[in-house]
Amino acid sequence: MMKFLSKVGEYARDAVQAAKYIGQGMMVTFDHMRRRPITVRYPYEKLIPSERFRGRIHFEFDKCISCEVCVRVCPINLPVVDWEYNSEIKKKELKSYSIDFGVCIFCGNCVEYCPTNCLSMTEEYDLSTFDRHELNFDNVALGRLPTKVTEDPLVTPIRELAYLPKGVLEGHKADHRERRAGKLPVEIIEETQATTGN
Amino acid sequence: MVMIETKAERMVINMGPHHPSMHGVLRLIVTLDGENIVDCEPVLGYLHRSMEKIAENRTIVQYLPYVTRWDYLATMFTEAITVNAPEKLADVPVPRRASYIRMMMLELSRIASHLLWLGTFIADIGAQTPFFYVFREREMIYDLFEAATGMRMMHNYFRIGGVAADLPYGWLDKCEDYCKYQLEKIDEYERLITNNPIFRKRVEGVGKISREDAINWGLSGPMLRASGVKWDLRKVDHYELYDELDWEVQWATEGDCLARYLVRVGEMRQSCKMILQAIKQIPGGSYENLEAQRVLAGPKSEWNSLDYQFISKKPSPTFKIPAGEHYVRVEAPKGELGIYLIGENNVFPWRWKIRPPGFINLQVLPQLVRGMKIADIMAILGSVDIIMGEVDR
Ligand code: SF4
Ligand code: SF4
Repeated sequence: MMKFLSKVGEYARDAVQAAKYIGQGMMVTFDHMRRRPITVRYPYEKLIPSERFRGRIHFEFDKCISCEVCVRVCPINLPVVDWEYNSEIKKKELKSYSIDFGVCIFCGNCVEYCPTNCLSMTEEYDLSTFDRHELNFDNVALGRLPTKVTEDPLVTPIRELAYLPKGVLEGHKADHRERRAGKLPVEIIEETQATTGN
Repeated sequence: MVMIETKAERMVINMGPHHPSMHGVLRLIVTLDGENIVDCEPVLGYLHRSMEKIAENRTIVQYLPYVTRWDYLATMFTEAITVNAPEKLADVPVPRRASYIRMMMLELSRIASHLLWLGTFIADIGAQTPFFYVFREREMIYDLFEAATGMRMMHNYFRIGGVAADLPYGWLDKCEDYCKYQLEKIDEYERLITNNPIFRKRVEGVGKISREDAINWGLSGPMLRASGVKWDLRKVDHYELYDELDWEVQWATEGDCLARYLVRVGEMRQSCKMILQAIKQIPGGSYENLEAQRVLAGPKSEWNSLDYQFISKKPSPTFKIPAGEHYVRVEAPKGELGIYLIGENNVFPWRWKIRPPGFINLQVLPQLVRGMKIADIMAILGSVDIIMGEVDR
């Protein structure tokens, strides 16, 4: 009889323990009822790509010197530099330049190593097409600029964490024009000059 | 009374390669006796992309974008090891500031990896909710990465002799915000998970591995530390500047799935603390402060010396790997990630052997699941923390 009772007691204790911890877990779950969703409703709201975002590559035809460094540093030697040596001006003449964005992995090596800075990365990331060959951009297509998220009247721009004001952790909570975290170097200079008195 | 003799035939079933709770494309051939597992054989190679061979005809600069595809959840570590190997061979100095930036990036990456592990592990066991919580926090790390490196996952940020670019304006402030927030959230996960009786029943005493076995199988990372070996390469090898931070190796002695869970959660906490310290200690402080000091003190000041640079010298595309061979390793979230590099004074490495932690940790799986119930496979596999991209390379 005693054995049975202690068994029942043990069982009850276990049940109470379990109920307690599950209750504790449920508290965390219910706590989410007073939080905002953090998801971004994409076509209506868009995240502003970061300043260093590596999107579709922009190319300036006139700056290129056909040195082919971009080809050499690319993991798959992707950029196609079509040039001809012009013996009159003793220079290489660029005829056409193309990058196939169906193959490019947006690593940014070509942009980093180009000696004349004629390549740069834009913030364009929505590159889907119906035919993959449409992604093979020639120098005209590479020279186009994408539209900015902030200038699109149909879209609510939302900033990413690193660009929010200090202390704000959700993009929805701050307007995208509000000042981001961090002081400007000029301000730091002024402050130190004010405190040191010179 | 007639007794029906039930002697079940052994059954061989196939799990994967596209199992819903399988981590990547891994196939398990499981021999079952009723519900009990008699044997289990992992079949790998579905994600093999010959990463080692590709390295043999790529310069380091060209190869760097590839490496984030080994372990695509702890991307910074693969980059760190890829630049560390030639760096050590060629004796390239790394400025202190660059080293601090690297440490912060590595620890953020560790948190991201452990967070995702936590989500999938708990989801494997049957709780879906924490999966979404961890993704919310992981997203913030990726936002920070995107601001500093330009990409969320495929950073291409580490360079021989430092990093590709200094931190952006205000990044340190936001990183600090994030770490404080994350510490609170880890408490929240623990409230939700650690003492949950269902979770406890599923993981306690499951997938046990003893200290000796763990060492003999060559396990590393949280797998090894959960079995009672206090072995963390950050303390053992003294690489980067981890010695300047105040932190403790997380370890446990039980060697079961629960111990591995606790070790990883503890590591997330430690990582947050390490980043918070690094933010305070980084030479030159934030980028904006460094800029201001440079303007104030003029061009010849100490602020322009090597310690305050983010890279010692921009590597040329024709960086030659000197002749020689050696092995370098870092403590990745999954364990010891190493490279055995043989150079022959050429721009291409002669041999680039990768020691992926997931591959070595996965081999112990058959031993762990033998004698367990079939439902435990997922819990055990989850607790090993493998990423098939890294296992198959
Ligand atoms: S590296 Fe720049 S300048 Fe040289 S070929 Fe490429 S795009 Fe032209
Ligand atoms: S971004 Fe990378 S993959 Fe694309 S063209 Fe440039 S170097 Fe090649």
